[in-house]
Amino acid sequence: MTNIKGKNIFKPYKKKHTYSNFGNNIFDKKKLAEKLKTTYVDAPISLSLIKSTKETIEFINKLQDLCDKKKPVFVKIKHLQFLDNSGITVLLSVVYLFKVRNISFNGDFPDSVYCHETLLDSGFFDSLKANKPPISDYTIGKRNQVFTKAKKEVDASIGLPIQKEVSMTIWGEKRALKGLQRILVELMHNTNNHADLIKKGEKHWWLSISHNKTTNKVDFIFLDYGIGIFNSLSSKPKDDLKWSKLPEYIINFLKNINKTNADLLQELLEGKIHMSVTGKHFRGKGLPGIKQAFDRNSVKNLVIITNNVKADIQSKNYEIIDTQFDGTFVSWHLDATSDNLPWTIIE
Amino acid sequence: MQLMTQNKLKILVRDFSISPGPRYISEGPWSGEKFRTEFLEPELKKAISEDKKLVIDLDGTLGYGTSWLEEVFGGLIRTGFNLDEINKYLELISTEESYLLDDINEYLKDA
Repeated sequence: MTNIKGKNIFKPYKKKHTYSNFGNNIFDKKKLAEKLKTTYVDAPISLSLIKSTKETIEFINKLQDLCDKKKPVFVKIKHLQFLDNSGITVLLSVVYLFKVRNISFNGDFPDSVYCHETLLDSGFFDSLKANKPPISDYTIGKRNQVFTKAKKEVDASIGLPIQKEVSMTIWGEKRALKGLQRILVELMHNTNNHADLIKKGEKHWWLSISHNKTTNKVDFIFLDYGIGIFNSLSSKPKDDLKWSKLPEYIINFLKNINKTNADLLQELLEGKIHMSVTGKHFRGKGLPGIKQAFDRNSVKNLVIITNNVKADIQSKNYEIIDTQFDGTFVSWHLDATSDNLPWTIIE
Repeated sequence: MQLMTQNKLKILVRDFSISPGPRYISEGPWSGEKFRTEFLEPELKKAISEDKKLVIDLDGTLGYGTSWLEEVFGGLIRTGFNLDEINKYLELISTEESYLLDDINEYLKDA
């Protein structure tokens, strides 16, 4: 029915049906009961956590709610007009959440050729056709193009292929990208430690990397569906205070009492206030560590969305958003002006 | 991993791993806790007992998260080494990321 780059993506169940779907046969009698229970969800016209933050978060929240209720879903993306890497990562991660729990996830194709091809390149349709994905380490897409990985533990070794491939795309040779490594490790660490209140290492992190070989630019998306930075901080234990720092804690508390989460995120990143979920005074250096890497020009266009805050670090725009995102989203890119070093790694 | 040159012992972090990872062993491979307990602490004790410098060369890796560095160096203080003996016996090399030296000094003071 649909032909992209000469490949048949799916076959219609019956010719009389003009209604396309992702490839699963929802009109099969055996699946009729399941179909009857299916909830139809409209994707926003623009699926992007960066450009259409509120609408995309509401879309995620609705799907997460249905996933929690184990309800089969049919996502309508036919009308999709804009899709970026953040939107792709959302779709890939949501499909994973459904498939790993054996919940039916289906949908239609976008009419927009650009959106369709973008999804095709991301491996999205392959992810739909795949069996139940592995829980520990899941990879979809093509290296050097759009590549998405899901994992739970802090795996710093992923930095090796990433640094090599990213630097080849940008500079045409291997370069060391230590600021990029800092950011990746801090974010994986944050998800592993803080995304779940009860147990460490329970939530997946998602990393999506998109290489643009025309502009010599590489975009990164990091995403988790944990509880988010502020929900996590509000649960921090108070049993490991360093008593010599008690006056500092009290002053900080009084100074911060009227601040919004947007204010707090800015001050956390800039190291002006110190907070750690663990309550341990020597922890809580990850967010400032990410900001330091940005300040050293390791990455550009750093955007963080968590709970009710959206922060564009480059423009210093920290804003409260009119919805709640239970998770942490971070995006950035590298280009030819990004900080880099000669490759000295001996593999 | 450890080399001995004249009156110095030396640890190359890149021989431990080119991809130093999380803070604790339970969080993933090549953790700061593993490096500190299995390599740094025994060598630092040896350096102190033999009155030799222990050089830690941080170059040649993919990069470091703050937690790895804090656990390695701040962790020395928390496990009983005092700041004076660390300053006397530990010598750090980081030509690729010179700012790490200031960061580590902060971790040592703040631990």
